[in-house]
Amino acid sequence: MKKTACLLSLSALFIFSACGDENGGDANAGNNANAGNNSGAENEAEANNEAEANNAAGNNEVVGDEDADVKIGMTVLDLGNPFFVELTNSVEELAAEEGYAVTINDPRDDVNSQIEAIQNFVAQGMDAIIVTATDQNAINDAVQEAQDEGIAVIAHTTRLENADAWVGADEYSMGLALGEQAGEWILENHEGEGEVGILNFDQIEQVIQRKEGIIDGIHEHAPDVEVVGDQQAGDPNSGYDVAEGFIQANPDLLGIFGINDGGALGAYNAASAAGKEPDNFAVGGIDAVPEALEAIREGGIYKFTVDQQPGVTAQTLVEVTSAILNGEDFEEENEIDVQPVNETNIGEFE
Amino acid sequence: MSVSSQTVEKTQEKKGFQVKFNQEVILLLVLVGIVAFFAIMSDAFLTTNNMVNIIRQIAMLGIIAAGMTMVLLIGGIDLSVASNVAFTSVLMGLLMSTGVDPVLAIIIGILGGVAVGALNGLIITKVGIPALITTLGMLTIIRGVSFVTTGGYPVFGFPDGVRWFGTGYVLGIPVPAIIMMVVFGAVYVLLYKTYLGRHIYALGGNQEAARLSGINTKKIQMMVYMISGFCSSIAGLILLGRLNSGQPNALQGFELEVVTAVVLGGVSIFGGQGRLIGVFLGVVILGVLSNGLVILNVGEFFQMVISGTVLLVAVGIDRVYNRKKK
Repeated sequence: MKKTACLLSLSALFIFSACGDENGGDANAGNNANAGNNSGAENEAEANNEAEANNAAGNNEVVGDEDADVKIGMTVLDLGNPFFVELTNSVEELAAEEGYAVTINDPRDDVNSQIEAIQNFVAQGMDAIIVTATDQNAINDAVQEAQDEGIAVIAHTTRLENADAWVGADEYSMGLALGEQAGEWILENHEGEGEVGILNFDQIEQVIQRKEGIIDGIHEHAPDVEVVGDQQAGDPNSGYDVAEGFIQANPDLLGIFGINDGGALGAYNAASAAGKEPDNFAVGGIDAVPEALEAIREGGIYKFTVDQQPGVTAQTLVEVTSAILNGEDFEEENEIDVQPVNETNIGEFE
Repeated sequence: MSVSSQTVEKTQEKKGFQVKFNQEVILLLVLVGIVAFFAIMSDAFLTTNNMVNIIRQIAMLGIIAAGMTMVLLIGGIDLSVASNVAFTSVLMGLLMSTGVDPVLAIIIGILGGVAVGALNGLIITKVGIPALITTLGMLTIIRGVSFVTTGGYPVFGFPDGVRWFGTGYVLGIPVPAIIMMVVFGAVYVLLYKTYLGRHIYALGGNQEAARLSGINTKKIQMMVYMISGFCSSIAGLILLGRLNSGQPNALQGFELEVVTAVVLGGVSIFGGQGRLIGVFLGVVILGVLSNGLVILNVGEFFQMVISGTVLLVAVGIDRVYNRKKK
């Protein structure tokens, strides 16, 4: 099954987008080629014992007591992203303390495998499902099936109309938090005007809001800033190439700001290699991954990131889930504050 | 896959001066057309600085494509290349960040990449699983290993010297570009100046005939997959220097871009046909496209459409032209 699916998606790639440029290739990867990548391969056999149906939907990992009375299924966007690694690790830990068994699914940004995962969770008789939706409209039916079976559904980040509760940081606020830091810096160092480049990931709907937040945040403090480049780059390698292009096309560019730290770190390396100076050039991202924190601590071109607080998010997710399952009161809307990170508060991060 | 005598005739026909000449001229014309278009559209494109950018950007693609050319020539395919790049760069990075001498870490990383290639070769020749499936499995396994060993987080914190491989210069030429040239030079010599090269073409043309004429086909397959693994590990070293970190999820799906470059360069996916010079042009075309479209700030989605179209047009012109010649 899986092999066939891989082969099919591979041949489809050959036919439709075999010639992706570097960015195209990376973007495709998220949706297609990855079907074959197992990050939790060693756990798959274990998961299969529990339910054969599990097999089709990618990688599942069971943590905690498999015979536990309460079972939670969790499906995120992509475990290649350190944010989700951190988030799922924290949820596992906290849920284990409550005596819950958690099954993690990694759909690798693919909406189809996420739908399968949710259906499998239903078949496995999960008590609750936590879902970071790849596409809210596409997974609605699957979520409804879960609801019909009396399974609690908790939406993370992307709101789902038929979920019991929502936990997450607002995408727009997240972008705004980066944009405002960047805008202030531009105001102080470039009299509030100049050219910037943006690294986007328009392929995922909610991340577009994040990008809009970044741009609005910059304009809040520095309305005359011009966005001269807006290109997709969600990982360091594409961030590197895109940044080189931005710098080449716009010699006066004063900064590059990305929808995640991954892409921005690539831009950081490219800008450093191009001889840009920390006094008049800035790079910033979102997610507060360790590498970005380290770069900010060094005090170079990489100046800003935004912490989505995966630890707090995980805690809220588990608390809300626990409250629903135990019939206690809970908030339906749980917004997690985002925290701007720069040289002034970098000391608070280990 | 049975190779009929027709294909052999076709191979011989292709070796005639005229067809060969035309195929590469078509690629060159496509390249000139694209360059002219970008040069007209943007002042920033046709500058020394940007040409340096482009040759640095195509280095990893070129190095892996050189190895992939040999693999396709013997009628195989290696889908594990991009995962192998990530695997070797993570391996080198992990070793360095735990204090292993950088030179030793690089050597172990390269050996690791070659070992992945050797494993591919062993499974293909000894177990008899087709290359597509073997390397697809390997793609998954080593990507998984990279994630497992790093827990999904990038590894960083190396000696500064490592950056040289990704961002350094020698006499104004980027180091990655120099490495790419050396790799292309070595593969050129292997393919056209040694018996191994002749055997590779013979094997791709007709495996059975090659075997009957006394060529050790299994040994050649092993060597070719090991060379492909070697090329991946060299690209892994460049990636490590370029990003100053080992990224377990780097270059996902990049294997398809590599195959694209090789096929664009005129190498047949059925083996036995195609030349390294064409592959080099294929790599340059993809690199110029990707760079130019970013400079023009063309959106990602359009870029995909344009890149795919260029592939089909370039290969299509060649096919139509050759059919007419007959």
